[in-house]
Amino acid sequence: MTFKRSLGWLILLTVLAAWIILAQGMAGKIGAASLEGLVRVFSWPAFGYLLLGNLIGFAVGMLPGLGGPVTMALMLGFAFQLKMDAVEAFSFLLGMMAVTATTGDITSILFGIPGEGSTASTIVEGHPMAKKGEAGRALGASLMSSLMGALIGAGAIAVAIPIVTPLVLALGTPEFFMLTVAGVTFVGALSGGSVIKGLAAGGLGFIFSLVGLDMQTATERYTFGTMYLWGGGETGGAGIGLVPATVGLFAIPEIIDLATKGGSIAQAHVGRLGGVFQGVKDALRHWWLVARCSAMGTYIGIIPGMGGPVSQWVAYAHAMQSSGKQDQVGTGVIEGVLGPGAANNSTLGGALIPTIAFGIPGNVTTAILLGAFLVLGLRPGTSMLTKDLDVTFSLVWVLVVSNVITVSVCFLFLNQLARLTRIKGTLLIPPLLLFIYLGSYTHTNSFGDIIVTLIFGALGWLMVVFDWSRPALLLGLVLGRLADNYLWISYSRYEFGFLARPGVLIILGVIVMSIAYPLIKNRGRGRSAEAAP
Amino acid sequence: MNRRSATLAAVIAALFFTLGTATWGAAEVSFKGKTVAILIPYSVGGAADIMARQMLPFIGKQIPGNPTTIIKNMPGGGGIVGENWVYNSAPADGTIIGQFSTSVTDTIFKPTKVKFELAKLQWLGGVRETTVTFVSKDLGITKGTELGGVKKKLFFGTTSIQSPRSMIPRLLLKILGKDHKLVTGYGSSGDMRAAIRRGELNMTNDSQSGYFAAVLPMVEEGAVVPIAQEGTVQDGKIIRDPRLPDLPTYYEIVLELKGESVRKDPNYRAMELLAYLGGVRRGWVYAARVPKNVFDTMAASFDRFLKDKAMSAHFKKAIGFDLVSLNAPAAQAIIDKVVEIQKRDPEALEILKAMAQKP
Repeated sequence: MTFKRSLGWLILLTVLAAWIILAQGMAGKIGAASLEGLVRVFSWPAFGYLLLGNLIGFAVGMLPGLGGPVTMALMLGFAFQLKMDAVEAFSFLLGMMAVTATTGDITSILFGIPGEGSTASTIVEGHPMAKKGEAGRALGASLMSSLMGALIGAGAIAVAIPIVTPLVLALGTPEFFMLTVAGVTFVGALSGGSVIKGLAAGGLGFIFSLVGLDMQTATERYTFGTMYLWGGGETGGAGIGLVPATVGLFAIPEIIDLATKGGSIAQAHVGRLGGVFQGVKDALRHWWLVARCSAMGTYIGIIPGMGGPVSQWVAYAHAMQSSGKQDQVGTGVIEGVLGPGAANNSTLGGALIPTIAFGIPGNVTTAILLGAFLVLGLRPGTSMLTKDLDVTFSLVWVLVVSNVITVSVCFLFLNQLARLTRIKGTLLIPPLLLFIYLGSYTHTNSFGDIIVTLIFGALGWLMVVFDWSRPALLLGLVLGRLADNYLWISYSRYEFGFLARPGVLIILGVIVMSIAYPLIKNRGRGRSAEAAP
Repeated sequence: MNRRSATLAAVIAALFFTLGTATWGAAEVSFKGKTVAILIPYSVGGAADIMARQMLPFIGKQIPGNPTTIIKNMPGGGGIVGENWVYNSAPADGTIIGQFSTSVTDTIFKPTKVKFELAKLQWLGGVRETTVTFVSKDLGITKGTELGGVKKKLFFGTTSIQSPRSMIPRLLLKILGKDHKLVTGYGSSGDMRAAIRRGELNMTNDSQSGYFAAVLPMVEEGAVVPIAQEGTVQDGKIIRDPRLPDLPTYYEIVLELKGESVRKDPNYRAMELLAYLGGVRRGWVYAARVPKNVFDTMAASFDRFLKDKAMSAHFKKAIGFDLVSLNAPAAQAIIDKVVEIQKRDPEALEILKAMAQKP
């Protein structure tokens, strides 16, 4: 532990020193632009649009399937028609987007149904807490960590401005590939009891991720002649959508459970509603974990192709690993709520960095935002970091203000929300099923989405019965396609030479260390235990 | 003839007369109270979808009866699911307009999946865009004709090996006999711009909208140099796009370096075929089943839409350059030419099909 912690401090101090050197001379300008950005966000009508955006985002986050990116694309036209200026439009669009990951955690915890594709991991520990009658505590913890994550993600934009070139361009595709490999090593932490079963589940997820048109040669893989499995993008894509698969894996087994057991979600008596405050305290007590997971979320946001769906699982795995409670996966470990709660919120801040600085969108959301930038007469690139720095800072403030408002409002209703877990299951099931199928259907608006949800529902139920790790499968599903794609590009560009790149070797070293360290530690512990008597 | 059959005959005659006036008499069909959908064969949030959403307020007011206009997304099969649906299953009353981006090349590269005939689609109009190839400043060249003398190895990046956009520069390099490596698999133009910045690639190309939006700042900064464009088709000839008058086309570069004899090279003819294939960048279509009078009404509506000053002002702001639009006859003429060349020059067609399989 001491070794890990001192390594952490060393990295932190190095980064800080590098930043101070690079940021020299920019501090004054950053301060002034920051203040101006804040004023513009609070001026009318921008602030009104921000509140409207928050309200829409609140609902979108809670509704399963209806995701932030889709809604943003739909709202884009609205923003143009009202002839909003840049800050007004971003207050509206980003204000909406910024809170979806926050409220998406709520349905994950209460009903075991992910509100967003990026909030599924909160289910694993959060929903068992709700079943134990601790919904209030889980919600308090998740909201507080979401807020902290959003603040850190937003702060990262400000911090990144002077060091944006090395931050975004230091790593190339071969390094991205190695990072996905590093992600795969987390399967161990996600597997619960049996590592072998965890690896098998991860491998299965990997195979599922390959279904579709491959991104390099447009070859059909495992599509069995159905065009549904080609995927929905302009150049083809993943045949199995993340939302239908996630909703099926997690929500369907919960519904079956609720229907067969009878009663309400909370099987134990719902504890004193003061639990919310307990959750807030949990987040503050584990501030260092929340900070680490936020930082991870931010950096994953910067990497093209990755985003909330990846960062939540990596953060969850890291939280469980560092808590030392890997043998209690799925029993309601509070760290497992805090980690993903923070990471899925900080990812948006990270994804904005390359978009603002280079016009390189990190994910779908920022790709849509980039479209909005241009319509509003903003050119991403140097001008966003010099001439339009106040607009850039208004984005930062929109993230901050939106999350502060939404989390505060949520706290007001949290006790009422937690009471939902006491409603009789027979009353809850019909509306939940409606939302599940409606949500899945929005993936490609075709019946295939429902079939995928049902198949993954059956698979998820079997995995629960036979105690296989669903998180490991989902990690395989989100990382598989990325790993395949990054490996192909790396090989076709550098051939095997990519393995000799310094960045690749460093990440490889970290992977080897992270696998070897617990083994060595355990062996040492084993010896001292033998020697003790 | 008894009275009864006389009445019947009169009723039938009246019926035919009414129907007759409905179909021949009324030139313009009203869409009052109806909902007209633009079908995008891709997901919400893609480039095609966002463009169509910006069009909506401008198109609705040009259609007689001012119908409600909406976007309908039908993603799948890289666009083919929606294209097939419009052609075979959509209602024939004119309330579904397809906005197609790749229907032309789909008929060549995915023939077994396509369930429509290019020649039978009815084109309401479209927009034209060129594509631009640019190289990293590290190559040390300032124009396309210097490409042959580059010492460094060329790494040309694209999305997929089937991407029609990348085929023209690939053919250019092939004709010039320039060794290069094709790096495929990038998710978007944004990923490729990042790859050029970090030295992973040193050559790629982008659509005109992508060029104006995100590549031009890199050109001004000195990070990349534009070297060639695809050009556009006008009156049966390939010309420089009027919005990029100083950038030579691939064809000019090849002709300058190789002379007129290159026109006989099947690779050059394949390059020309590609220019026609890309002639209608985004086109609005009706299925063959939609009646002629409905088509005429909608084609006229699109013509007014494309001439609308407020619309072009909006798009100029949104994409950074003037929209060059094609009315129904112009779009139809380009498609006719595509169909004709494909029949006339199977050799050029085979070259393109082979390129979609092997680098």
